[in-house]
Amino acid sequence: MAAVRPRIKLDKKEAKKGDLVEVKALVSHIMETGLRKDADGNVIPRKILNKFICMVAGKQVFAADFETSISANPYIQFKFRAEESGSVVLTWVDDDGSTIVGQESITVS
Amino acid sequence: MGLGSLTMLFNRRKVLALGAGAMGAALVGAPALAKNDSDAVIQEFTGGKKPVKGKVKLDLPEIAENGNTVPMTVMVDSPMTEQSHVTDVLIVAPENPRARVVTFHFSPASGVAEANTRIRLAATQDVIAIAKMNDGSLFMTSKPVKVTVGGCGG
Repeated sequence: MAAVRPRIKLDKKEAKKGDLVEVKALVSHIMETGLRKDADGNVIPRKILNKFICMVAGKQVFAADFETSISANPYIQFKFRAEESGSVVLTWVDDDGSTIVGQESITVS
Repeated sequence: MGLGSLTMLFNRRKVLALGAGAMGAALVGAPALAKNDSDAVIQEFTGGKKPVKGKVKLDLPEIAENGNTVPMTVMVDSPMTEQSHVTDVLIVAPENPRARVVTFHFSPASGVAEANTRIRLAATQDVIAIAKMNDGSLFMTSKPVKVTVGGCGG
């Protein structure tokens, strides 16, 4: 699979300790449910991103288990409390085991 | 089984080919009885405990024209401290082919128990959100959504 580059946006790059930082992320993915059939009546096999994890400065702050009812090109928006400077790493796990990883950074003063 | 659920058995394109009139009629049909695993999914999440109504807020449009992508925000009223925080939030769509939509996992580092994503809804239904706190207590809410064109892809 071609490398997918997720689009990630933090509402601030620099935050004061304790501030809430909003993360918006969008990734291109078909999110095939495994329920659809092609023109010949064959079931199109399921292929979705089933897990999403956000690590800030090496610590997990948010995660989600996606199911087939998540729209194609999944969008996710959540917040975290800024505690220390570091990388913000977003990981999506595909049904086939491959991962899509995106990274941003946050400076906490 | 209502007409609405019958349409799910057909290929989406074929359903569309039947014409907007037929589609409309099918969707107005009485809500079908729970036909998926929603009870089992909720049972697994709650461990049999009955969630209390309140604390959870679910934001969904009243009418979703396109069931393929319905913006959904869930918020849980919680201080999100080590002592008291939300650990998991389960979203259930009882009329979807698969009831479980998404499970969010929060931590005190989340700061606020709030998340937004876009979901698929197959038919008009009451979407349910259940939140689990770190002390094991459960809270829930539900929100009716009218779906004009289902996004189940069935």
